[in-house]
Amino acid sequence: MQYDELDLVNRCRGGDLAAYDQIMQQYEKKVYSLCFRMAGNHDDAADLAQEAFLKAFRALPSFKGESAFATWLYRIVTNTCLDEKRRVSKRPFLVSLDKKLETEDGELALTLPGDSPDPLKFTLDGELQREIQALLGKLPSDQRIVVVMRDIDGYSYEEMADTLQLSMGTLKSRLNRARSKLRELYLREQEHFRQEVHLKEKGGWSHDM
Amino acid sequence: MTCEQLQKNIVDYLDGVLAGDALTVAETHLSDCEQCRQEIQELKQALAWIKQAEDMTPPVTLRRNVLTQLEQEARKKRHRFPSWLNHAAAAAAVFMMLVAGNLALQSPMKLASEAPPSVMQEEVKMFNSSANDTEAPEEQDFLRASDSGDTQNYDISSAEADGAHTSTTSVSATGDNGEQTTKRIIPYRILFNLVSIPLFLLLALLTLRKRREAMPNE
Repeated sequence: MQYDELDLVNRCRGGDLAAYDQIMQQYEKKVYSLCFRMAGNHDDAADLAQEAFLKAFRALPSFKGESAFATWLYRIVTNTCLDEKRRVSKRPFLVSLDKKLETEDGELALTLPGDSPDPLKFTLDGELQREIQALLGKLPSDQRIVVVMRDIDGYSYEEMADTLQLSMGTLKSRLNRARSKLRELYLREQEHFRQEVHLKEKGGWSHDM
Repeated sequence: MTCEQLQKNIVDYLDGVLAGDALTVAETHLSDCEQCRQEIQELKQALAWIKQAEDMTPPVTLRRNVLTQLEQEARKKRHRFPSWLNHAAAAAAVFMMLVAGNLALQSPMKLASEAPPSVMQEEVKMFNSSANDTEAPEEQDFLRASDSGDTQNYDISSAEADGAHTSTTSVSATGDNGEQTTKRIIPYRILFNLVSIPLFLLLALLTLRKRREAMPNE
C-alpha cells in the first residue's frame, strides 16, 4: 500500500491528474472532516478542503519523502485551516444563521436563498453532531485543532507534533488547556441542557428525548 | 504528589500512556484527592461525548472542482509563452535599445547643456559658422588652418559624415576642447545603428513567421 501510494505521488508529480484523483479519494473524508470541524459549516469546509488539495498538488515537487505522505498532506490541510481561521477572526462580525435577528419590527428569521430551506438541517443531520460542533466552535482554533486531531480523529502525539510542527511539550500543554476548556464548556452545556428540559417539562411541552 | 503535579501528567494519564512509577503515583494521588478524581471523571465524560463526532461526507463536487482547476492551470501553463512571443519580446527589447541608444549618442548639439560653458559657447560659434558653410568657404579654411590636432582623424570623420547636421559636428572637431569627444561620438552612433537596426528587423521578421506558424494551432 505504501509502495502504491509513492507510485501515485510520483505520477502526480508528472502532472497525472487521474493519479491525484485517487489520492484525493483516499484522503478526502479525513481532510474534509477536519476542515468541517475547523470551519463549522459545509460551505467553508468545502472551500478549505479544495484549497488544501490544490496547494498540496502545487507543492508536490517539494515533497521529498522525509515524512509520510499523509503527514505532509495533513500539514498543508492544518495550515490552511489555521490560516483561514486567522483570516476569519479578523472579520468584524459574523451573523449566526440559527438565531433570529431582533429588530424593532419584531423577530426576523434569516433565510438563505436556494434549495436548502433550513441551512442547519442541511448542515448537520443529527442533533448530537450539531451540539458537538457548536461546542468545538467555542474553542480557540489552535486548541480546537489539537482536540479534533487527538480526541476525535485519534492521531498519535508524534503524528500531531510532526503535522502541526510543535514540540512535544508545547503540544501536550496545548492539549491539556484545550481539554480543560472543553470540560468547562461541556459542564456548562450540560447545565444549560438540564435547565431547558426542566423548563419544557414545566410548560408541559412534549419532547422525545 | 500534589494536584499540580497530576495536572502535568493529566494528558498522558487520560490517553493511557502514563506507565510505571508515574502511573502508580498518579493513582495514589487520585485515590486521596476527591477534587482531582472528579476533574478526571468530568474530563473523561467530555472526551467520550466529543468522540461521538462522526466523519463528514465530503461533497461530490470536491474532487471534481480541484481537478477542473488543476486542469485549467496546466493548460494555461502550456500556453503561457508561445514561442513567437519570446521573439516579439526580444524584438521589442532591441527596438527600445535602438531608441535609447540613439538618444544617448545624440549629437553634441543636443547635449550642449551637459557640456562645460566654454565648450558650449565654442560650439554655438561653430554652429553659426557652419550655417554659412557653403557661403563662406574662406571661414572653413580659416578654421581648418587653425586646427592644432592631427588632421587625419578629422578627415575620417568628415568622410563618414553626410548632410549639414553632421558636417556641423565635424567642424566642431576642429575646436580645441570638443575635439576628443566629437571625434568618438560619430562613428559610435553609426556603428550602433548598423548593428541594431538589422538585428531588430531580423527579430521582427522571425516573430512574424513564428506567429504565422503558431496561428492554426491556437
